[in-house]
Amino acid sequence: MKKITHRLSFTLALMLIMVTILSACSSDTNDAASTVAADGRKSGENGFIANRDVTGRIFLEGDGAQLPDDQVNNPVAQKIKEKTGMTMNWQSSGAADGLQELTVALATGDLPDVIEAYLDHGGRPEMPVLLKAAREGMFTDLRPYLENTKVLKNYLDPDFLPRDTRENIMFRPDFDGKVYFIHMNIPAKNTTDADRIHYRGGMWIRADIAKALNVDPTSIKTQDDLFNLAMKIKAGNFKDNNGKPITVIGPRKWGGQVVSSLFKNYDFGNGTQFDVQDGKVKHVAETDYALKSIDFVQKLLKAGLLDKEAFNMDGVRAEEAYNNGSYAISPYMNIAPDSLTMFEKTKYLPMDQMYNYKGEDAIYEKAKSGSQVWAIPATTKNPEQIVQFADYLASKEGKALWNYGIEGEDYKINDKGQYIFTDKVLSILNNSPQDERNTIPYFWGSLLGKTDVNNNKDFGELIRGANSQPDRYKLYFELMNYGNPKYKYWDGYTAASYLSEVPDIEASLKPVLDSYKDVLVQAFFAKDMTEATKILDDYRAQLKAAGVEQYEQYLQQKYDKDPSSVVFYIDAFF
Amino acid sequence: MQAELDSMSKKRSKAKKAASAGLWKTIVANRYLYLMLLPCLIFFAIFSYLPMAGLVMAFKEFRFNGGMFGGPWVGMRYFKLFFSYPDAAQLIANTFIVGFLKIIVYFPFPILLALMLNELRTKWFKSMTQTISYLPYFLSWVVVAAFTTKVLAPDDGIFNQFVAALGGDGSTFYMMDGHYFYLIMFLTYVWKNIGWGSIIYLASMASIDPTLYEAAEMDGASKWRKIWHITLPSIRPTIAILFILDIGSLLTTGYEQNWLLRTAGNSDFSDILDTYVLRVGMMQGQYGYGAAVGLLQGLVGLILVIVTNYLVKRFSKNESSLW
Repeated sequence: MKKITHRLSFTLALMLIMVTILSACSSDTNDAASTVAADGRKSGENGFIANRDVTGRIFLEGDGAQLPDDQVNNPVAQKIKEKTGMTMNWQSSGAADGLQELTVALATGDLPDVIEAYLDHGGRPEMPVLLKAAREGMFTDLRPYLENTKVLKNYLDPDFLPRDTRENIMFRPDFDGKVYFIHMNIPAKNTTDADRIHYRGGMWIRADIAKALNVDPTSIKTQDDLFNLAMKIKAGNFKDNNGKPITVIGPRKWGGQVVSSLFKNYDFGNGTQFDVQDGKVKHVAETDYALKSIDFVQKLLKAGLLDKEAFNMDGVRAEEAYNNGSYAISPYMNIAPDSLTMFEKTKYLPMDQMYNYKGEDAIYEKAKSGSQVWAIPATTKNPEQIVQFADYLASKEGKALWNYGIEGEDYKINDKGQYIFTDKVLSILNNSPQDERNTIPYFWGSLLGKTDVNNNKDFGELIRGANSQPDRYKLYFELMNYGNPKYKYWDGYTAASYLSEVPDIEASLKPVLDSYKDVLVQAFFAKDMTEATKILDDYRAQLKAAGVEQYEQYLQQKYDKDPSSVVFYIDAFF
Repeated sequence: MQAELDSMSKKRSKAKKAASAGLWKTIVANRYLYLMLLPCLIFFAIFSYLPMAGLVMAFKEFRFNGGMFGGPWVGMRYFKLFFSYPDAAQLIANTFIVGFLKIIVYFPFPILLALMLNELRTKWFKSMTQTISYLPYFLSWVVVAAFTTKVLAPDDGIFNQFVAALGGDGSTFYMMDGHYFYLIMFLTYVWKNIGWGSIIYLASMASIDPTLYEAAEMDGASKWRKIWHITLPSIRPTIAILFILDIGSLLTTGYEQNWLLRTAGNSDFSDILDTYVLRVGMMQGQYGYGAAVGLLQGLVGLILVIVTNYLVKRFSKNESSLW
């Protein structure tokens, strides 16, 4: 008897330990929270949603550094909590590869209340993973909750969304009317060209060198023009900021990679690798353009005009070199705010107006830009509260808080309705810009709030801070409009997006398509064009074996039926 | 007859009981030693045996909502897909070459270093050399790959400048030319691991009976003779066992070094099964496919271990094999 009692108590103790361990492991982030505010407001009354701590995770690349140090107790977050009852804590590992992190989180089911992933169009590599997860029931259908929102309900209006977002990302026919993702950074209705920021992604040239050689960067239209200019620069013996000789053409500002802007005259199938030649869908490697671009890059390398490490240099070295003005020409840069800081030290000018392979003097941009997506995992309780919270952050009141901070303290509104930063914020921006995130958590708020965007209408300026620092942004606008480029806009389902529609071909073809850039680099460094041609021929054979012809046939059928159903040429840098 | 059988089976069960009682007695008597072994057993159970259940993924379609076992069976689909991949043969060949370099060619290097260190008589010089030689082991491959790339950079890299100073061309882009890849990979691997690898041999050499050397000396044996006839035979079991253990990972020599030293130009040489599994399996979420390729690597490793063990057993007359 004693033995039995002993065993029984041992078993009970063991069970107790197990229960304690398991309960400690379970997440409490999804618990429904109290729906009465401290001041007595009930859910839905005067902006109150619920007393709830929401946890999110960012699957972007190394963006965690832009979050405030304290995401809950900074003045803006406190103000938002006062109004809505909600706090928002974003987790970020700062990993270099957001897609890998996202895949692992989905596979292990280690998901918080809400997730944010990179996805500027439906042809991105994140798309197949997100689609698979949505089809397998990993996310909540958000459609029923969109009806009860003020800003996000615009997504239900077919004219609000770009075609790619509507047909490919959010309202896909195979989702049966369900919506799993909210695509962010969608421009508001009735925005005009004046409300649009052009980032001028493409080739850039050091302004002082262009001036010294009396060259107008906008006049460089052909590959020969570019080559001749490069030769002139080399002969000019220009120096960098440290007095060392420069290299004429370097890598991308963010590190080495093949960028088609370097051989824009030959950029067939830009961004998708496929395009139509003589009415037939072809892969770029099957056209003469591939060999022409290889020939051009080999010519640059042989003449010592291109840094040999232009295709593999790490980002830190590349950025440092551009800060020192060590390259006369960058094959790819843009005017994101971090570049502006660099341009203040070493001014570069856009040289992105070369003809494209079609002979057009035009820069392609997406008709309406979307950028990231957020989604609510199926395990999250009360998802409607998070949708309401996102809707508040996307409202003008919410946007003002995460864009400009607290009124009176961080910004004032002048009589033209413009939002102007106070001296306190200006001092932070000028002296320690990296601390801005603790006063104005712009990135933190933008993750759920940056959509239905029209900064001109809401705050009287196209770019946040432009009216507060007019001198600084004069340079920005000068560069943005430099050379009065002509724009062409694309919208729709890209040739790359269709690959996930044919999983049997995708499995074999995708790895081969992914290796195209590597093949190009091998051909660039081949000892002559005969060897380069052989490398390309081998690649063509690989494409064929992997089913490229079947895929081309599939695209051809779509294209023949409705040419607007497939977008081949987009604004990606390759 | 029946009675005989009964008595035999009784005897057998008695013997079994006695044996099991003996085992328990041994365990109880050596409980502290067994307790020290426990973490090791737990480690292997959790990190080596438990994950074997995941091999089932090689035959199932992985679903995010179904976990490892929830998806439908797909048979040999992933294996067929892998062998129909145009680069599959090259990946396998590269993996064998890298494995051969890292395991077979590299194998004598730590032994040579250990022999050299063992012959040093100045104590401070010996410890200093030893410390310096195994410090690189603690550097991450990220660091090693970054400075290898810098040292070998075309034109302004230290190595190219040295070549130029000697009247050479000095513009070779070693990292972009696949023909140099295996040499770079092998030299960095030796540099990083040789010191650490030599420790176990040094420990083994320390346990050799010094009287053997004294006796050999009295017989007039030279240093080389002592190394050849005393040191090497004495550490032979260590060498054999380490070799058998290493050979199992011929196809799984780790992805970090190749991943980090890889450039587009040397990818035809640097892409191996490990990097392929990482890129396709992990990064693109094709876990089933990744598991199938991983399973192939594991199977080849297992076969190699069994064959090597058999050969070692035969040639060493049962002295140095694992089982």
